[in-house]
Amino acid sequence: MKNKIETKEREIADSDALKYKDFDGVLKKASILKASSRVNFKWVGGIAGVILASTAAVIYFSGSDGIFAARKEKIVTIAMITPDAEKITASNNSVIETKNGSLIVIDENSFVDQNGQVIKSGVELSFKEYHDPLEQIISGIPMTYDSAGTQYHFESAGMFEINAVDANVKINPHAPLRVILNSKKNGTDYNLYEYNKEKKNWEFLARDKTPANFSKEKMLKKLHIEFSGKMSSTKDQVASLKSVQANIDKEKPILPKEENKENYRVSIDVDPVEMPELATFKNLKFEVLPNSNFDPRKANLVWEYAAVKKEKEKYIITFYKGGTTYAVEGVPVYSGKNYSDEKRKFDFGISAYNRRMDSITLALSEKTKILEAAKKKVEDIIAIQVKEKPLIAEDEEVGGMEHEVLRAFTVSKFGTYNCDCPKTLPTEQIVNAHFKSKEGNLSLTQVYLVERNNKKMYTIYDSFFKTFPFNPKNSNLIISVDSIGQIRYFDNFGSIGSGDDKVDFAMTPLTIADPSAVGIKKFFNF
Amino acid sequence: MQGNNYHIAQQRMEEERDLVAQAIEDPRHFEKLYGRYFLPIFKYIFNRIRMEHETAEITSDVFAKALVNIKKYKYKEVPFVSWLYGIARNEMLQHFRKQKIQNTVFVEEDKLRHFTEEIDSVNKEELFEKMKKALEELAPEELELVEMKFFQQLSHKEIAAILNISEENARVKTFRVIKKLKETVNKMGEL
Repeated sequence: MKNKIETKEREIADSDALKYKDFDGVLKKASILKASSRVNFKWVGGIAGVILASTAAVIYFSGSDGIFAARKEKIVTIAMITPDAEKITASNNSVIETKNGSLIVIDENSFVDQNGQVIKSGVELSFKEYHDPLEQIISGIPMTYDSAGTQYHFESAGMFEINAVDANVKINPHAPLRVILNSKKNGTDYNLYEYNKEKKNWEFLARDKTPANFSKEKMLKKLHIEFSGKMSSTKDQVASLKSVQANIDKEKPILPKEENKENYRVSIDVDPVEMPELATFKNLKFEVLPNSNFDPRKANLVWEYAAVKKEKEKYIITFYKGGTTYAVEGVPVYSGKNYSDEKRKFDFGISAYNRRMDSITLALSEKTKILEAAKKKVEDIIAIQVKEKPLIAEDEEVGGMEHEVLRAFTVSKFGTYNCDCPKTLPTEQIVNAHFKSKEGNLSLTQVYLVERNNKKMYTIYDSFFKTFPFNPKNSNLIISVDSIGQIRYFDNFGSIGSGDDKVDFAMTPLTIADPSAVGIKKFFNF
Repeated sequence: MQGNNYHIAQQRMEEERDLVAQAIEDPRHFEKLYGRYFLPIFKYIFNRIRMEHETAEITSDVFAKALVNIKKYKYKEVPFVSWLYGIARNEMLQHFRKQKIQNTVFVEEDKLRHFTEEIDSVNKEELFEKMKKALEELAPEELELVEMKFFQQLSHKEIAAILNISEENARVKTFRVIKKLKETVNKMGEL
């Protein structure tokens, strides 16, 4: 692959870089690296096996005849399952569909550089979605929300992270993006939040106004109506501006020459509506062009009247008498005494004309851009609709897809956004929880309580371990991530202990063959 | 990677040896070295990656790997940071391979102009664009040498430590790359 040389203007500021300084994170990663380089071996059926493994592999040997089959199950750490962000090439004026079926609506001026200058060429985005408790745990983003001193737990209808690959790119707050998240949850009780990285807290943005069962098909139709409506109204505006422009052009004054008394001339009153370009001037005559095939004898005739009309930028003078006409080409000339006054009048007229023309041309150019932008978006939407059509037909056959609810966010800066319904902790049962591993007590700062039946997730901090709340009527799952990032769980419990009872939760390390987010989801049946 | 940060005194290097020894005993003592070199390593990586979050992630990987392998660090009369740069370089190469990203070198325009002037001070304006093209044609390891020697202003000794080659080898390789660049630029002039 060829190299690329790019010139840049400056280094990253120290203050920006120092935001990422995190020695605890380094210690944690180093612990994971050390753990993953350990050697594990087990005795089974009298066979001793020492297997060197580059990852934290637990090797199970089976069989009694000296021949063994190995099944590798890996201890799962958060670092192993963090999904890659989707890379999106975002061009201006487009509607982009992400891998998960979410939509991103981008305007002409949506991206700016650090100096606020609009980036015309489009940019590379990274986009990551989180929909279920596992994905939210992986994200490491707190799923609690503090409001007026009360801590709430998010019941998320979808969360996403959007960033520019180039850190110098920003979103223009005057032309924000619209991210329409393909949420997997129906319902109308959700709010939209933005994550404040500095304060490590969520900030309320707006109430989510998505109606119930607002499917992708409906959202695409809504967008189609919006942009084709815009296209149609802008088209009318463009047509009307073009007509105004043509009329103004007709009024562009021309500068009459001074009359030449040697030439034949005729005085004719000009209709300012028919010839607005001459409306400014008085004392006008039409001089017969010397090179036209004018017969001077005609000048000695007495004509009843003469009229002038414009044909293809030429002024044609026609003389009438009875049934006889005589037509000849002429030019308007000034027959007054002060030609320089007339010239000043022309200069004034032409500058007024230019001003009007400039302003109408600018308006026309802006409207044409809007029209093209709307047109481009409509084309994108139609392309998505065409692609979706067979899927929609398939969904209808099976009675519609529950997850096809699209929720719209206005995104005026890069970051993490969430559509959530804040809930308080369950109150049905409280126990004094202790979390254990085979080796003894586990030192955890928080655990995640997942209600399997409704996929609600609560983050329970260690200060709540003594009064650990849950609903015994649910099928509950506790997931923890320990200091080296290893995932442990305690699954499928309902009623357990009561009141102040000390309850030991023996947390099982998660060891599965497929240590990916997909594998873990399958394991937990999310 | 600034030359001034890089050229640290002998006394300071000896102090670093003590810090390394302490970090081998207790990883928490590694924090002093982390604090000292976080910025230069972050900037070195950012210079190539140009994405803050990914840079932060790779920087954190570099220090974690350094901590895990700190016993392997051998004092070679170059500062500890050159060993870190070597790890950072490997991490970035892995990143480029994994992400299938084009090898991109970001360089301040002034530095590129200055470098062009060093090659030919007479026709510098004409050379500037040609030089960019010629640099793009270099093999990645050749471009890396130019980047370290001229844009990051490292000494041959420092380059040798990062690339795990001898100082003489670093000098010869750099000389050959410059010769190749001059030839490429001259050929462009003939076309």
